[in-house]
Amino acid sequence: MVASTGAQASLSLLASSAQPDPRSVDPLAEVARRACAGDSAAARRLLGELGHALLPVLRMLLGPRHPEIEDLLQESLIGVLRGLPSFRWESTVLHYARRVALRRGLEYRRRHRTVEHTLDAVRSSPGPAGGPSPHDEAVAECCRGHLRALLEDLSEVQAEALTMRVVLGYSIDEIAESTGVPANTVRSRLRLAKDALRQRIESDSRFSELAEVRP
Amino acid sequence: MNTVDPRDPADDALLDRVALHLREDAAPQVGDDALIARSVSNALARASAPARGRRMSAARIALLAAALLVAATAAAAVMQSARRARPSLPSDTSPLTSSPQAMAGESMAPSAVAAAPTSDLPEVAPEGSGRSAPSAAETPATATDLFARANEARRGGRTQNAVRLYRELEQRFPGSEEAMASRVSLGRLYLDRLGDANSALDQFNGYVAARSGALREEALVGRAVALQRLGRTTEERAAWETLLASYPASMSADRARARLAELR
Repeated sequence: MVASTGAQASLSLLASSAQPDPRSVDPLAEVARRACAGDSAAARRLLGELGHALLPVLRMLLGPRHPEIEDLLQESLIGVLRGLPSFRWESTVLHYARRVALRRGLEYRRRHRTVEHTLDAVRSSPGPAGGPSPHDEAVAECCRGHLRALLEDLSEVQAEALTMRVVLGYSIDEIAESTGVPANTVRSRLRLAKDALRQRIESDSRFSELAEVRP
Repeated sequence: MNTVDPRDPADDALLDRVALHLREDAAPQVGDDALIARSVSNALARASAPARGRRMSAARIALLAAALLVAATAAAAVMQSARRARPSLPSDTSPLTSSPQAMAGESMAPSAVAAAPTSDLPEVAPEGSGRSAPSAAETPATATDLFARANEARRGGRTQNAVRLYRELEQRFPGSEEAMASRVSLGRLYLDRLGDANSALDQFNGYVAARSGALREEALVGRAVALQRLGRTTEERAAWETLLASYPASMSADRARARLAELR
């Protein structure tokens, strides 16, 4: 089994839910309510569904082969379960769960920044030929590496805004709604985060080509 | 998705490009279904653990109190009987020593005593349990529980505790999946946090010898790095070559090639 249908479905879900509409019918709401009421079968089903959606989020934050992915997925699922009783149902369950996973991933990166830099150096070398060209792969790794490193240095709110944009694909309005701050505040946070990212990339002489990409 | 303001910081080619590359890392992998199933099972078990822990703690306290009472009563009875019997019954065949109370005293007292040394798990004990010396009954009953505790300790920076728990897992559940996975985690702890390349190498070798599983690539990289730290260049060269032969598309392939070039 190379790619599970569940995982493929979750990726589709991830892409399609880039524009979550809280007013739409939440397909997970009923099972989440039953899980919240103590129905263990519902809890298992809910976590199974969410697991396929949260795994890509954590991989984007930490890298595809990070050995802590499984632990962090567990932590995220526990966080979702424990948070359900206080969930206000103002967004979809999936939206809420992905934010939980995003926070777990960000917390992890901040807690383990020194060790992770070492491990990243081991894991993040560009892949061999056969797929994208070595240059393309190096540019891609540059993007990923600088972004992940940056997440450890940005303020928490900037890191959250940036990851909601690039990992979850949210718009400014959606980030503002999720985080409960005005849209202009989100703009400011994103601008600062983006400037810091650009600065990192521009300071990397190997990837000056990438730095020329401007809006 | 993006707002219409062209100057909007979210509407940015650089961010779009970064997002695109991040999504490449989110692709499904072999074994995802199993990974998710494990995570769900462990999450469900751990999510209910604190409440269960408190209930067990209360029950345990009651049980321990009862055991101590029985033990004390039996011991007093034995001593009193011995004082009475010694002059007339010099042999050790006192009927009291085989009575139910005495048997209970003999069997429970050692348990109560033996519980004390296992009290070095304070940081992983359920919150609010209100005791400082967990009994032997608190030792995680399954490999999954023990693995979860070890991982918690490792993530919390309690390295020595994590090492002890991983080692306990390997001893108590040697054939379990958790014990095998713990070899890679423990190897990394030795390598990255404790600077003990020899112990790290043992752990990685243990995994590589027994498994062709999901963590084998990670174990091969760890083994090569450990050998590098130990200055065992011939074996290190072979380790990097094994990695490249087994995983030509490894994320560490370039590192392996670079190191092999240095070793030539």
